[in-house]
Amino acid sequence: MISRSEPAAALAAAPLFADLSPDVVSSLALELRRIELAPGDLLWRQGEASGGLHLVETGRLTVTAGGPGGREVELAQMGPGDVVGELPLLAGGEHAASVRAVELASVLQLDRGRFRALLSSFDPSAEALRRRLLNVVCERLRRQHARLCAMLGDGPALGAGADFVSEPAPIPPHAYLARLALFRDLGEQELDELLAVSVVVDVARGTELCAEGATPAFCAVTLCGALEELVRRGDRGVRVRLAGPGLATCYAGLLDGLPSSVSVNARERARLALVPRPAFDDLVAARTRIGRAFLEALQRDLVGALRVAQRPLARLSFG
Amino acid sequence: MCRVLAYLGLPTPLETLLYATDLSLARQAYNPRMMASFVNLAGFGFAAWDDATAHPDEPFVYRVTTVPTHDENLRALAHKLVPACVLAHVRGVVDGQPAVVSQQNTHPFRFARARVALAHNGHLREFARMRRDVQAHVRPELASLVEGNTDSEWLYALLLSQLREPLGRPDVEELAAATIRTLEIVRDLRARHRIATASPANLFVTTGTSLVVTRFSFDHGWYPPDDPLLELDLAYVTLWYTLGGEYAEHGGAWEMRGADVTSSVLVASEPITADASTWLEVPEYSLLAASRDGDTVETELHDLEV
Repeated sequence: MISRSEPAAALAAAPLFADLSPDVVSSLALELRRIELAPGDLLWRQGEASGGLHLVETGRLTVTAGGPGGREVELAQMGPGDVVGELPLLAGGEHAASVRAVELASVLQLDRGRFRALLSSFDPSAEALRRRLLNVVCERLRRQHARLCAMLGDGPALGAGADFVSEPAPIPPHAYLARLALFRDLGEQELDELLAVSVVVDVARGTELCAEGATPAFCAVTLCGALEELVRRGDRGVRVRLAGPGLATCYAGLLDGLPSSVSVNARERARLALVPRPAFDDLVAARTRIGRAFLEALQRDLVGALRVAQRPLARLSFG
Repeated sequence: MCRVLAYLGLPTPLETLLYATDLSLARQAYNPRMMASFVNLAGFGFAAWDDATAHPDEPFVYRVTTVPTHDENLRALAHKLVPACVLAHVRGVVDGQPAVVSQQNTHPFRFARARVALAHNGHLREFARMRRDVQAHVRPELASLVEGNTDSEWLYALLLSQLREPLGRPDVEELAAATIRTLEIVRDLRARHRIATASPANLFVTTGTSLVVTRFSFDHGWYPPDDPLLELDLAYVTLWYTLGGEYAEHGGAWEMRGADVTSSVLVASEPITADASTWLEVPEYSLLAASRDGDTVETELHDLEV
């Protein structure tokens, strides 16, 4: 149990901050603001601007999404050591869900600007923090997918897991690629470097790239067309996300080492840049500008995927 | 590209739907949130059905090239009307691209004596190449009623041509089937002409008691080189809905407070309030069908496998 009297201890005990040096932790602890919540108190409402990163010190919080008629669906519960409110800090935008205390709770708030400064530092511990944050988002995404699967009921998951057929394809012009979300922050040379380690292919509509439960061998970036992430149980299924041009998929398992929680199919015929696992691992581990820009782009993509995954959950609950 | 709103349910002031909220359709004309760098100043129109008026099967229809925020006639009309069904549209055209801004090209489209009205959020790329073949699938008596030069009006004529009685009042099942058949015909004609570029077709079709809305795009994700609409179409064209009881302001928030039985549904290109927490996203490649019977509205979502 984390002590309420030691913000530094609370930080150090939180898995997210485990790689920070004691000096950084002590310095951050001085800037934490404690917020006490009574049962039912709102920490923030869905749609509000972010005030910073919040670390649960004591008590339990519920994370909910609204629906028609003022109803709510619970997305998750958070307890001591969990962080909340990281998504707008990683990818911009507003809070996608409301957070409220279930019981007496204490939360430590790290100011938005301070957290952003920490994340953008070149300090090795900041690199580790960025990777841990990615894993936090991966874990949340997997939980959302598991919730969706539970709502679909019993039945086998989708996907045969066989190799898929693809055709080598030309690389679209740089002027086009530079307008896509995943490449927007890459210079021309860095884009060339990324494409040099990728394989550009065309796949037909309906092609299954990765089955649920399989371990992906690549990260797939859609250049043209669209992929879809699906969960299915028996004859019930739901599209979790449509990944059109500039969005990536199949990479969560490359980041956290776990099997895919969705199956990935081509919803339209698609032109893809496939980044094979070894090249992907090298890229995200490298402390180069391209590695960092690629990781930040994946971070935004992952947060987008998590936000979108909330929508079918709300629809199944209220629709 | 455009912004569209469709409402079906308990009689609701038109003013509420067009003007009252912080992201109302009138505001979406010049400040849409879910479209990249695009405004919708090329015309406004609505069709509204009010049970309390003479000829309740026939809608009020209003189509102008005036911007709704500066249309005093529209404001006065919206203040008076309390319809049970509304289909409203603000039209956007691309700066620098050939487009005729005229009353004939504003949505919603409704031929004289027709019971069905249609508005379109999207655009069929390379439509000129397939226009003649589309016309060949339209009944001649309907083709002669086309006044404008938009792809959307031809989609409307094509859809009416799929009804057993083109000027009749189909039930929601027939309306949905005609909408799907229309998309299938367009798909086949595109294939014949080797047209394979992204063409959003979010269609809003209503009779005043039945409503069918699609969230659909042909060949999503494929664009011609140097396409001026690329940023607009990289993301799938949005579509949202909310449902419940009366749409009204509750403690400063506009929403449909829960009713055990759904009595109203509001579908729009994007939520008409900045607080989107009471809205749900219509999934891509799907069709929302709604029908009204008295104070009850039944809604169904279907996958669109076109």
